[in-house]
Amino acid sequence: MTPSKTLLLAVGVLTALSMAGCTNTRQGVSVLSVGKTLIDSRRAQGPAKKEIPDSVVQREIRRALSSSDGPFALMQIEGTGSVAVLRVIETNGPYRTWSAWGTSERRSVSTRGGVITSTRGLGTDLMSSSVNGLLGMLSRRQDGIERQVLRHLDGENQIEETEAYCAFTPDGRQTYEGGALRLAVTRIDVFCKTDTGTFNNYYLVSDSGRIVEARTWLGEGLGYFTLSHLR
Amino acid sequence: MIRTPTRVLVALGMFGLPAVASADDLITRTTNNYGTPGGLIDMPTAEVAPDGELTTNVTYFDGFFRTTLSFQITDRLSGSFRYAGTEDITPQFSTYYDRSFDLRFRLFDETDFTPAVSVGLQDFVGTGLLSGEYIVATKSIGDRLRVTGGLGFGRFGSYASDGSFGTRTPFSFNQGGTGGQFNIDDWFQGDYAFFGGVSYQATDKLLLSAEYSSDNYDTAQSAGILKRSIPWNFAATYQVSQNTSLRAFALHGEEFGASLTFNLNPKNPSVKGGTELAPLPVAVRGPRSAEDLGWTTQPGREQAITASLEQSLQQSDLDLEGMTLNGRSAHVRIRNEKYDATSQALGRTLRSMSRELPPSVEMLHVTLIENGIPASTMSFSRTDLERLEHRPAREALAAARFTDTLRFGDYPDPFESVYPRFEWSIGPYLRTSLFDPSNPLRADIGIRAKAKYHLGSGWIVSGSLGQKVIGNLDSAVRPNNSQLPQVRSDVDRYNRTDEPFIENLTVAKYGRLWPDFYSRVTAGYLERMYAGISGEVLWKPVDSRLALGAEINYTHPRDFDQQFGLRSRVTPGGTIPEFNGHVSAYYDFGNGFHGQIDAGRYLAGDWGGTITLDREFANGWKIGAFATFTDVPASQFGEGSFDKGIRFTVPLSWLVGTPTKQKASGVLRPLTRDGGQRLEVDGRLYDTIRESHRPEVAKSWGKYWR
Repeated sequence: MTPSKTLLLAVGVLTALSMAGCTNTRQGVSVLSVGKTLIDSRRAQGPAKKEIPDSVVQREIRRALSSSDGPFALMQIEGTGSVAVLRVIETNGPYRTWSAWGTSERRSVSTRGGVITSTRGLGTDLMSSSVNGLLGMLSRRQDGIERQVLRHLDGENQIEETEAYCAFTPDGRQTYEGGALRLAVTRIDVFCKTDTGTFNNYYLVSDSGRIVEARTWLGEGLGYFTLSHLR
Repeated sequence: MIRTPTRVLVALGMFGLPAVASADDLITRTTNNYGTPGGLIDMPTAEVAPDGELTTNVTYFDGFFRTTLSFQITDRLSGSFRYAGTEDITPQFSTYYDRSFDLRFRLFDETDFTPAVSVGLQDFVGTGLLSGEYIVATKSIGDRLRVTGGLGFGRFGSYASDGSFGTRTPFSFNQGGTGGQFNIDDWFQGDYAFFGGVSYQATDKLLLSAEYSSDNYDTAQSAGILKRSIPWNFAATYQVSQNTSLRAFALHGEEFGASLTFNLNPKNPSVKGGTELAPLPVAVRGPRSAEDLGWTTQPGREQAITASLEQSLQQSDLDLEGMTLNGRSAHVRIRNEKYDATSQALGRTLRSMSRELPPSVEMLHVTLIENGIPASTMSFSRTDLERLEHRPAREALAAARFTDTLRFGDYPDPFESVYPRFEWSIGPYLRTSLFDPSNPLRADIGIRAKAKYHLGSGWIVSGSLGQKVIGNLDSAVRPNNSQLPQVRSDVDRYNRTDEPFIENLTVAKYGRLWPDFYSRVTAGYLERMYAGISGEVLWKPVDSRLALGAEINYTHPRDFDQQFGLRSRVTPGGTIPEFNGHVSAYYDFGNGFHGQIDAGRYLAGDWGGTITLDREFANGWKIGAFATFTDVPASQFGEGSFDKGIRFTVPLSWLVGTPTKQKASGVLRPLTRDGGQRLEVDGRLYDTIRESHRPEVAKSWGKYWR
């Protein structure tokens, strides 16, 4: 829930009058930037979905793969229609942190075993998740029920946990093609229920147990993300 | 669509998953015509607003207008401040303006079979035109219908009284008193009557209400400005947007009117968690790399590390002011001008350190500097940092250690480049004057330039220069009949200047006396009305929710043009004394409430105390009220009887969705007189250092990994 645009405008105009127009300090949120925020929030009447042609995406994937031998993945955000080729920028034990390839933009996602466990810099970020049970269930490729926990910040910067109970259903074999990968996978559909709603994820798992593609719900603000491994 | 086998659903059902919560505990975002939470028209209900909700209601019908600000202080307690104007109700004024305060408390929540019950006081301080008390019960029937019945006294007992209890002083315009008194003797006294009503949520956006009103509008009826044909009122309320609703109503078969309500909840920022860019990830050291101490002997290595760390922190808008580095530990001195959630500044600092420091460095210490003095030192082991990066944030809080910097021992000296440092800003300002009967809203808009020169550790020269551009504050001409030294009531004369004015121009020295003790001395033009010297000492252990302080000021009144001159202490009401000061206790109750007590001598030489209670939200919003009682008798104090008001702080980060330490603060006083007035000096110690101490850092710890 966000304050309505009119209210933002009113509060904004009042606060704008109480702050600096320009300054040499880091505190400086200027009148202009508040104005811009307000204009942006008024413009954002329903997210405008970007349509990116597949040929452009495929060309970017080829360029990325030829640039280095490292791991790459394709991330698609359903809510905004954004697509990005990601590269690994850091590894911490079983976790990998990814950022957009070919830009220095500081937004990132972290994964464990191919599943997104946190995001940074996207707004309403997923702060951390517990996916142990989920990964175990996927590696066995059997049906069953497991618990998953997503953690976000609430309006007071407190960690808010969303507990989901998820039912796993193996749903047939198919061939996965993405970047340099072409292999046989099992699709596992996952139906999850939280206190306030439900969501539907799926995972494509190779015979060796590697999750090569995952469509996961990351919270109310972020919606569904699909991460497809390219190498 | 993804197929979901039935057996899976059955299995999930058997898991005993919690059902979608349906009980809303009689919560409403609508307000009545007096601006208090509730779905009826003139009558109160036992409904409550969502916790923390702020509502502003403006109601108008023929000759009557009311503006009410209500705050749901806790999930049970709400408070309201109202400014009401009535035309031709008394021959003394063309419009009679009145300020009033309400409180309402939910005694019992609704159950399946019993209603919610609340007790309330309307207009319980002040002159009492709207005074009334009630006990009210509300029960929901189904999801859409709410039925209310209550028993009221005062205004709520004025029509078709069912009986009487004790005696009540009738309202009169000619009481002769100064108002502002608590009329405790009259509460729940006099005639009482029953009232009731229903509200029906016809659609998601439309609420219909009908009520039987026990308010006879006695004063208005006898003044002939309102007729009351029937006891029934009706209203339709339409939710225009998520936070705005519009109402049309009919009163007593005679009057039609409209009201507008705006809702805002400090718990709902523009973007939860903020939209700032990602932090750098933790860099994990290779196995056994921590044993290599070879770097310590390489010439120039330390300087190179310092430079790269400084650059890394710059990316996060943090300033490295100093560093000491040895084989096993590093200690940095950080200035955070950016992050209102201190935990975020600490988290980002530590991650930069993990990326830039040699692997052998295991212990990381961060000293936060505020106004040039160390405010706290936080220690974190690098192994924990690597281990906990993807874990729930509370685990990192358990691993963090906060120490008073002086107790910790040595801390890094500032680099030579840190001082001197010059800061400036230019921007608009708004200054208002509210509740003057001849013009309830006056304002000036102007331009203001501020500058700060940091001479050395804790030494700050600062000034603020303003110039009015447009406004009508200078049109206020109220005769000043104060019987006290005129320490604040000459505000009109200060507002009358069209020349540039110096808001303040001071030199301040902040210091650390001993562990847990902080000091400040400020001298110069302290605020727009006073020049002088202000000295303060504060005791606050780094993990304590209690702080104690003492302040003593030598002051001299400034010229009305607010340039360099001073004026005589002698005023028609008496001589302004030289010294004032207070001892203060601050306590964070830890449940979202913060209390402060100040006792001492006020500007006019009066002795007494101020009690302040704030609801503090972890995101930086603060809403509170204060009252000052001094040895000045009400008759001498004048209208209002004692100094009181509401104060609020709005963090700008809440609005813009990115971290900033800037905030907008304000104080709303029904009336400013000369009793119980304190000196306003910038940079008092408690607010300077509190954000760096453990209780405050822990409150917003969720942002540590953000």
